[in-house]
Amino acid sequence: MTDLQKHTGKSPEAFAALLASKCAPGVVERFCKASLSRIERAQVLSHPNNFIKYVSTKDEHDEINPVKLFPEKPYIPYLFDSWTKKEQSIFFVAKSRQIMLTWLCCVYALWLAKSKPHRLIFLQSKKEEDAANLVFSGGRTGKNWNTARISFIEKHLPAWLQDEKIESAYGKLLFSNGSKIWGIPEGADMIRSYTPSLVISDEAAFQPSFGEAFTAILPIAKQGGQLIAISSANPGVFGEIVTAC
Amino acid sequence: MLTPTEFRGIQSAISVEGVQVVRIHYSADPAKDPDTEAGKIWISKELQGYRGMDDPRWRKEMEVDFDAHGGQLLFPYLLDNQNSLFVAPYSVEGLKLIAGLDYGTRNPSAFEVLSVDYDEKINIAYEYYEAPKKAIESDDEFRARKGYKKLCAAIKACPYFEGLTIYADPSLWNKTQESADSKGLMSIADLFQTEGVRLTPGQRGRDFACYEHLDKQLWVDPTNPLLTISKVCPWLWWEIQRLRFSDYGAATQVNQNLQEKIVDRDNHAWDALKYALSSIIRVGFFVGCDMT
Repeated sequence: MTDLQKHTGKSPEAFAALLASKCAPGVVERFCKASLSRIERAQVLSHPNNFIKYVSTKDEHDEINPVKLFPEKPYIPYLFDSWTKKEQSIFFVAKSRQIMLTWLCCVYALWLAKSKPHRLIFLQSKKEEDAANLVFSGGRTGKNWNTARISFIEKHLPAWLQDEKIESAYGKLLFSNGSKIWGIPEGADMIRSYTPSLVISDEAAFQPSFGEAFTAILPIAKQGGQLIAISSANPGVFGEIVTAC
Repeated sequence: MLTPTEFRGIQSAISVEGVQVVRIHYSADPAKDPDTEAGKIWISKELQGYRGMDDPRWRKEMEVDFDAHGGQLLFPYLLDNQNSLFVAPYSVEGLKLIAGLDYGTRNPSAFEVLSVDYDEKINIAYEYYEAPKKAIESDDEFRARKGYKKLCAAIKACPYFEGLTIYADPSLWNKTQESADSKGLMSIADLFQTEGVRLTPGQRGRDFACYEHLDKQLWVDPTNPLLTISKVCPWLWWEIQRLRFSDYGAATQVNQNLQEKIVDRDNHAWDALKYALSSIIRVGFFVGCDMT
């Protein structure tokens, strides 16, 4: 629109009036709305701190209003800034329970998949079922987006922020830009077989094979990949590294 | 080592492996911060099912304590009061200075200098700590940077060395070292003396006296402490946060009392502090101590 406007040499108001007179009723409004959505979407996806403002979570304890916007917490911008700056490619977060960090990792994974093309994102949990419940589990019909966290977040975004053509399978979401989020069980096998852009390890200190997975990801982390391991306290490789600090 | 960020309840560090480590405590969330009314209510509700905040299960789940089942921390309040206890260095000119040395042949040696001001406020003003063996270091490289000569040179490089009384483990006066000439056996303290570092025997086994002195006197109000640790002494700060009482397993505890013993691990700077501190502890310092 701006190029056309420059070409005609008219003011924005005069150009809009000219365009409206030449087009069928409602076309200009729809065109402007679509453009604004694209601009807004690009702005929202420019950083996870913007994206999270549109994210909803579900609170299973709340009987009246279980779906609510992600609560604002002072540590969220700190973590997102650290993760996006990538000053260190391996990031361990030792945490208290109940501070919504697993949800936060799901938001980060979804943001990355939507905003950057061809990202391969692994969400690793102790069992495959646990990992699928973070990404997409589909429920009994295989089509229920409300059962897993990332699929829930995606379906509760404003329409203009949702991706239209996401392919889903148990534990997997494939985006039209080529990005893929995959829930995988603990261990090093999957990490060694693929070249993930991001591995998020949930409750890493409770995964008996976390040490092997950590070793497997080291070469990937040196080549631009990222590992974010979060956990509450438990002895093991994760704990050894955290407590040595 | 974990240091506070600008956000309450969040500490951050880079590990020796190059891993960015962040610790997020529930107090990072204002709705759970014990200093807020909402936080107090939340904690009282959350404590249901636990035997209080000292319960190892609570410490593991909520206080991010990886060694929660290994015994109680000596000073569990340090991280919460980091800003008042771990302070920026300041001038100690004109103040009384004393030092403590913990000498290790296979373990790191630690040297801590205390300043005592006119109000008897203590500041740990200087530290020399031999870093433990690094992952990339060979045995030869590790040994090459150790030894009493290297340690003496480091102690003499301390800006407060002149006239400093240095208290050390009395076992350093045991004559266990072969001498190069015909003088017979020498002690480690003798070897230090030959390098120009004169040591004074400290007192052994004062762990509990020092703990009590810190906990019941100097840090009775950690927001307004009578002993501070300068930020140029990070190893002491690191060690003192993880000192624990020895503990039995849960099953043994059913039949026995808790052990009154401190775990002998990562305590080199603590030992050095102890030798210096015990030289200035007087019996009457203890609150409520009946001298009659």
